[in-house]
Amino acid sequence: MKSLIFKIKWFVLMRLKFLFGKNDKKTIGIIVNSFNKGGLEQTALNLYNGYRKKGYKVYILSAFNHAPLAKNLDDIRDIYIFNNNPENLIKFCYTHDINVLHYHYNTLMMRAVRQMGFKVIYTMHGVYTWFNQAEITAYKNRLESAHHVVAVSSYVKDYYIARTNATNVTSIPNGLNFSNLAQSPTDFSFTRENLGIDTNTKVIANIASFFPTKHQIGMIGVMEELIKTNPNTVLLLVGNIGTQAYYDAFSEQLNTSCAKDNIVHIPYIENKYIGEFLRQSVDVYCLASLQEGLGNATIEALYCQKPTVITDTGCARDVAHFPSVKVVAPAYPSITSFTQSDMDRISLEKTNPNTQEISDNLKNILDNLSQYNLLAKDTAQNLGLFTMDSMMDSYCNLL
Amino acid sequence: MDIKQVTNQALGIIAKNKGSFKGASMIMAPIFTDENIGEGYIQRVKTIDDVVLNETLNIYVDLETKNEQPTLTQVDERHVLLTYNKNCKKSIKSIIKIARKCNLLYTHSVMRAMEDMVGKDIKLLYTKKDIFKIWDVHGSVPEEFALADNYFEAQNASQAEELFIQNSNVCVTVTTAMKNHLEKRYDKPLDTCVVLPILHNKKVDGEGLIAKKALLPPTVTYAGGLQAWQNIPLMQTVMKTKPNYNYNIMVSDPVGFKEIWGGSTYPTNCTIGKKTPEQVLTEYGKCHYGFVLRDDIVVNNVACPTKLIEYLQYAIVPIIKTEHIGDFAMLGMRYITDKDFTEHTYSMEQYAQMANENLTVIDKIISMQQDGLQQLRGLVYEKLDI
Repeated sequence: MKSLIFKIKWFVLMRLKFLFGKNDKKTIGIIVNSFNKGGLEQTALNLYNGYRKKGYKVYILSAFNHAPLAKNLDDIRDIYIFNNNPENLIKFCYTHDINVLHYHYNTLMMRAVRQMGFKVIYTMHGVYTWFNQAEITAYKNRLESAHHVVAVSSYVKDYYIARTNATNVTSIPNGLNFSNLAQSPTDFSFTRENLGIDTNTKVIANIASFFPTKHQIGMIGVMEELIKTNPNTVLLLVGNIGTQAYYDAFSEQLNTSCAKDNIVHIPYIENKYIGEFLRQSVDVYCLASLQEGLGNATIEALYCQKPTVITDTGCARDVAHFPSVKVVAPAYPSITSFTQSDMDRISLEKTNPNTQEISDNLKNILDNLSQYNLLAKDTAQNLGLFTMDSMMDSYCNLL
Repeated sequence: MDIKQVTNQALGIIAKNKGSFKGASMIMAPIFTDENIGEGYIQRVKTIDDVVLNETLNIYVDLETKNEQPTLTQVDERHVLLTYNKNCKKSIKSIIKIARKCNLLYTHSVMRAMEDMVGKDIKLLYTKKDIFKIWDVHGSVPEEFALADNYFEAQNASQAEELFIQNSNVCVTVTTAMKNHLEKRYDKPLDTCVVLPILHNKKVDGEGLIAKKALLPPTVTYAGGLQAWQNIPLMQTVMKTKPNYNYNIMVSDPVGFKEIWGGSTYPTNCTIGKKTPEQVLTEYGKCHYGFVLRDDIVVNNVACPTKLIEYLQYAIVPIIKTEHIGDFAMLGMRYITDKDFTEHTYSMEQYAQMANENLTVIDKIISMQQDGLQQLRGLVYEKLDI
């Protein structure tokens, strides 16, 4: 009964506000589960800054009180913790004249707010392989209340359509802040010399935290193949330990591998050094992920003019047309039938159906490096789709 | 005692004392006791009681107790303490009824109107037009919670802050920087704002100390805790670049300080220990420079740290990371940045000149304090039955 009264009360109040209030100005609420330091939340922060730059008033609406990223907001009052309580959320929207709700994974009250008159946008940050068919169908039914479902890459969009036959989905790649990569800090220390790599050795970099999805164990198999023909090659795996058990499994396999002297783990490189690291110390970038949303690290490598080998995940379909990019099928037959148990199993496999192909592509690039470097230079000039301006223009068109 | 009895008894005390005092003040804050007087917040509550509200019957209201039933305690002739349960709907009604019989309502910090701390009905009290309300801001509470990554409390504090901005008749800040911060944030001039810094220590012979210190080897001090915002690792990096200076480190946790230091060699003359507040002040008399390596963030920009006041009083030139701490730079404070300290060597003459100029900053703060007190007393006593 209380819930029904709540629904009727706010439905009437919001409808009246939208009907008779001054509705010409858009005020945007970005809904997230938390405002922690993750990729999804970083995109939410970029959207907050981007919408504000375009002149909109924006609030971050966080379901839970975990919001360390909020220190980056211009005003502490731009974040509201609604404790996953629908009434708190709607009351805040009402008092702060919010008329656009931009959801990220959380779908609280999506159908109701659409009926009240809000503009509703939902951004899909990844492939939801953990949902079985019934769950993803239910999720799709909820997302049908959104005016626009935005996938962060063509790959994510294709996946969602393949599993749900949804029609209200479009793709807007996340924008990246390339200015961080353009820096050349004077205290840069990740040089080849400091890393103990001689000038005759070719360097492949893989930048990702150690998680099963990133499939670093698969890179051991790739290197075992590659060094048969290109022994002066080293793979730098740059990333902190995300899942300890996965890192332990990786270490165990590396210790018995013939490629162990060709693989080095660098636990952490501060963001401001990544551009210089890629430019000075790396020849080729390679990411053999099992799944990705967009894969920011790949775009960053492209921006830093690195020839690249990636699996068909994340941004692959959006960059496959560049000659400096080689896209290889992932280590399984199809992402639409890929499940969590497949992930658990394949992520521990060193040798996979795509091992040889990744190795061959790396060999081809390394053997023709100067030619690929020219192509990569050209690629770096054409990454407009992944800029912040491009992302914001596309989102603002949806408003 | 039930709520009706407490209300009637409080009203009776106000009526009975009408001739004994110049009026009655309701003060939203915990009352000071021997147990809590060490807290900075309580010290300001007591100072206001001692120097501003010293001629009124003072009724303290504490809504944060867990008692089911309200209580009334006649602490002494001039002080009454009322405690209520925030979850009882009748509590606010009782407080409003008593407040209306007082001449003013003096609230210490936004915390006294944060819904989760004192209940949702608190708005009813602060929106009453017929109650004269003075809000003593203290620090920037929303930012303090945000600094601790507690954004839920930060938003509660922000809501309370807005409630005070919209409804207070007078607001009292510790710095002009805090007044400017609030005016900018709410895009609203604070016409009746009193800037009232508070100095706790008695007058120090700064000039005598400078003359005495000129004969001593240059010594750098730090007195305080190891909280993240004190930037202890940066302090230690600075110390390592100047190993020939003397260091007198007085911290609450000497072992913790040494743990942060790690395995590197200590400067030749470095003492690290725990001292009582009185011992700290005695040691200040032998030190030339003092670390205050706070970050350039709102919490520090609007603050008036006791440590910095003491440094200036005791002729200690601050080594700082940012000059944007309270009003000190605006008042002409001489300081050395951490970078300058590592890159340059300062003569005893340079030290003496800086320390001497800083004594005039203390004079300016004392003058601000006197002006603020006069202004606030003026506003308060206008409202009393004189």
